[in-house]
Amino acid sequence: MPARLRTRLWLACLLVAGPAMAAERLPFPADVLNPPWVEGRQLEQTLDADSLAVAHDLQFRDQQPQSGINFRHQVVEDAGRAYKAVHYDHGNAVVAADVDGDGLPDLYFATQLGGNALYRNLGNGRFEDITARAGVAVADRVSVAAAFADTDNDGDPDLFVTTVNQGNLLFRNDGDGKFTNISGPAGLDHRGHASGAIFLDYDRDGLLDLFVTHVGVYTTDKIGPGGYRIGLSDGFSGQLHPDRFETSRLYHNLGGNRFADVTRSAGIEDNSWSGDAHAADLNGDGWPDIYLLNMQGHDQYFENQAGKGFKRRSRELFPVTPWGSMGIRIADFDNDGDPDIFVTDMHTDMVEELPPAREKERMPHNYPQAFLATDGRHMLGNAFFRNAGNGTFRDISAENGAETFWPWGLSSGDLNADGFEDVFITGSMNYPFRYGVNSLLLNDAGKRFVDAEYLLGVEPRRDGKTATPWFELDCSGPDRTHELCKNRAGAVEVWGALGSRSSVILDLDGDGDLDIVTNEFGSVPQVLVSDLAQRRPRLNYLAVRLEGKKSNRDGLGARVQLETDRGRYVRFADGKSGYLGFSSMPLYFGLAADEKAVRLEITWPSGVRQSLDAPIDTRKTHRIVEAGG
Amino acid sequence: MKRAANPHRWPALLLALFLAPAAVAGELRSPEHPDPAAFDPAMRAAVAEARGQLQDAAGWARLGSLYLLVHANAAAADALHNAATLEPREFRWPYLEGIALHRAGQAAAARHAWQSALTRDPNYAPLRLRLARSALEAGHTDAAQDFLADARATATGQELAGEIALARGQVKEAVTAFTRALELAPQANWLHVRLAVAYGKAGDKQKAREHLKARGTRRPEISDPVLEAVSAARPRDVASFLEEAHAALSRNHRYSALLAFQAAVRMDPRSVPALLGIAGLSLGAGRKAEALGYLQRALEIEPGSAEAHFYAGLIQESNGAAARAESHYVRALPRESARYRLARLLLRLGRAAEALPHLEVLTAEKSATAVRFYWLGLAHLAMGNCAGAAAALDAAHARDANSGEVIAARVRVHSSCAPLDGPARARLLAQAQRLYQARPDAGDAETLAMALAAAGEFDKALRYQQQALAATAPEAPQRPFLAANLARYARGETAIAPYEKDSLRLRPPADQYSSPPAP
Repeated sequence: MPARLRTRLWLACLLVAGPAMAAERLPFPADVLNPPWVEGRQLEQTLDADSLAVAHDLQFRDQQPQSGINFRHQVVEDAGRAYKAVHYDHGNAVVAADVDGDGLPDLYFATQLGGNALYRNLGNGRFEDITARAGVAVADRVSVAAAFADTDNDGDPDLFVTTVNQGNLLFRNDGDGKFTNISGPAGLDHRGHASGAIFLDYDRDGLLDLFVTHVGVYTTDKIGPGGYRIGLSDGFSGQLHPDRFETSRLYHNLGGNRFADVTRSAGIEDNSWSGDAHAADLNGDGWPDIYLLNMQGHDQYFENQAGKGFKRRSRELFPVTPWGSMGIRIADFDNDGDPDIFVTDMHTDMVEELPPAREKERMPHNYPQAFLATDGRHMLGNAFFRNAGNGTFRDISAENGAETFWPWGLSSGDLNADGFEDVFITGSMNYPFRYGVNSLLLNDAGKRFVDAEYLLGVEPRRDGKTATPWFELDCSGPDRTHELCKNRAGAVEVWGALGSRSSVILDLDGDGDLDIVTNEFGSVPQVLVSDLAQRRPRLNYLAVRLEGKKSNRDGLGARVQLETDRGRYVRFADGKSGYLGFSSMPLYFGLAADEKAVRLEITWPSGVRQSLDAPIDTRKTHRIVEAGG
Repeated sequence: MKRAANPHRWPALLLALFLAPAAVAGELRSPEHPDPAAFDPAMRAAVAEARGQLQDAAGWARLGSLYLLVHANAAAADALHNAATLEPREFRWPYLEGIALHRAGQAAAARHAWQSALTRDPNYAPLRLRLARSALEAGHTDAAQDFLADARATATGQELAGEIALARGQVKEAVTAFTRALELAPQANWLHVRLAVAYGKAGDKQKAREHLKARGTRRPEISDPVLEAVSAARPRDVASFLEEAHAALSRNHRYSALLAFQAAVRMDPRSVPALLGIAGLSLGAGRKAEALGYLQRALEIEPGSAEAHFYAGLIQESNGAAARAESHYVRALPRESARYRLARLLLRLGRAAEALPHLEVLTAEKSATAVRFYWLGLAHLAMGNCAGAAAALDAAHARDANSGEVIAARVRVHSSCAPLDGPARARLLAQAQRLYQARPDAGDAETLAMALAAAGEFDKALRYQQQALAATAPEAPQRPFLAANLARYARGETAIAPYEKDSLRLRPPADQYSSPPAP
């Protein structure tokens, strides 16, 4: 066929299916729809994959459309058409727990507008929305974080949700996946600019206590669309305004789902601009300590004084911390038996926008001293504090590849089942910034982290998407004064970058490998399902679900050590599952080539030591009940 | 090489051929005109004028081009369609119609408009490139190849040829095309990514790595005179020139900004913002007299212009005409920067009591910077209010712990008239020592000597005071003060005052924050 005729025919063919005239699509920034750097980044990561020592024989695939999860996170206007640099852009949690006792992890997504959502796991990676019957939508408030834990030791996970100055919520699980709001009677309905929440048994009395971090005042009294409190226009300089400080709060569990605020008497009053925290026994004395993040200043470390209270030892142990700490995960990353600390630093990455090719570099300079409002001793990026084993920590982030750009928080899990905890870091700033990637760092035998998000199918996202419709403007109507309407007329659909906030790593389809679920900002979740179990029919792993008797029912604070012929692995039951998220899930041990486990030893928070000796079945989840209870 | 046609395409293509003419047929359309209230005045006037002259193709084309400029794409497409219908030989109108449709998300209709343009002028390279890219994006590499034709002589054409080759799995051809594109446009460093991809697919990892290292984000550009003519025909008014000038200034393109300000003045000789813009640029270039001339013109038009008074004050102050400067600053007073300059001028003139209220206003805000508190401290010192000075300097230090001048002044005050005790005094001494380590000059030696004396270390104080004295010129006015303090240290007494009377002898703290002194 002659070329001329061929092209005419092709054009005519396309004309038949032409869409109707739509609003003008306005990508902002201009290259957010087709970032010119993505392919180079992908190639850089995959080019030499063959020579990598760390196992990478798996791929993730976003199966959100098939999962039945149709939740869509909705942002307030301060993060959309009325964008301002205020803390609403920190987004919301996704958390996991078996809420109905069927043995499968269910998922709870929080949002700013439109109501949170609880999805029941039907098995095989399928979910159903049970929010309405569970009664946990919280549609009348702007939620932030979520935490599942068994607060009344009755064998099912209860749910705590923080909100932006609209009162926090405790939902008691009535045992069948239905929840009752008991916030007021529980004494947990405080109104403030609450953020992350973690449960811990700080006095080891067998009842889970609650620590709630507070950012500080970043809202006005004016109410915006959807009922949210409109943010301050200078919210990002809150650390300069002592009148805006709010202390994070420690609530002591009195039993019977009643809590008392013991912040002051426990010596943990602190005005850090804090979004999250992590409990862990960092000094090995058997009592959980608290590492409190400060997103606009120095982090704080509170050492547990044998359950009687806390002592601030921040600058002694951590003289230099990130200035903009956002997320934290404490785990034994190098398999030496003690906990190491990985802290992500988002706010330092707001000093300037690094070009994509330089994202693994540290930020070259910091804010002016007058803005930092500290003694100036900060690292400019993520921190990785390696536990030296003698009660001290050393930051090795410059050596082990822990740096990432625009990170929110992190989740860890042994994604390649090689025995070492890998890390998934949510990233990207959404509108009005360029697209940023989520990072997947494979742990190469505790020595370094290897960037693998492109290698393992986490990036590019499904269908190569980097942006989504963010908001619409009527430039010939009420929006004509909007800055994006300048010399524009008619309907405009503004597209902004995609970006994740919270994540949780879990075996959602019960096939033995670990999957990843995200909560996005202004979009639908990613349900990243791993095919490791399908690629490795003899996948060696073991999971442990703890059931405390004398200790708290969830076993939070327990240390679990697994020995094989070739190695020793330690996991800490701490519940921290991702940015703003706290979950109730089994502890997962990847066993690499070890098909047998020879010893499992649990040190319960009660002090009870308990062990199982070979034969211990692998490729299954063990339920371990505390002895002597 | 001749390619075989795909027999499975024929039924759909024949159907499409049957349907196509109906869709192609052109009738005049009635655009849904956008509300002109959203446009700037010049554009509003131009659109109104164009809407009154729609009797021929040129009139519709003018209106369509204007709508393209304001992104009213649906209306632009309709207007340009009418122009194309009325002038069937002109390729520009369907070409621009295609651009409007493409922007509106109507990819297929855009392609159709471009195809119509192609029949009118098969040689316009940007048109062929748009069609080729469009076909490639739809997965039709044969059609893309056909459209490309002679347009491959450009970097964009070669890039597209490379993409077509890649899509066909012809990696060698892709490497050749991308290499040629890079030769034609060496600044388009994004092409290195494409070369790396091509080499990666070809199995040459070394070459792929080399190109990845060289990669950037700049894509090849192509000149499109038709679209450029549309942009050039944008109606202008003073506001648009001012906008252009400010955009140029934000990129530090001062000459472009000056040209835009001048154009605004030509259009409206009474435009105060434009006159001020020229004055500011002249002042920045050191042409004070010229700047003052523009400011005077601005003040004749708008006598109360705070900005004009402020600039005039700056010029008069730098000319040494303090009284005139003061007069201008006072008339610019709602402006915070004018209050700051006025306070500093009054301090310099020895009128601290008059400066003080201004500095108190400037430091009343929560966001007040260290430098403002510093000058407040100096004003208090000049008036003999040591406690007030100490409080202000403490506030300055709390806001900027690294300013050498703030540290020096604070150390002097707390080492003489507002002494500290215990750990606070030890910290003060440590700061003085760090300051001296970082800046070992006479002034900071003197400051350290004061701190040492305050801490009871008189032997060391004497040594540093002698050093300061030795480095001070014999005729320097502060010598008697230095000598008096030397004698006091010898007697075991602290400094008599932070500074000699009536001479603050201070440097302003850096407006840029300095690095912390070495620990």
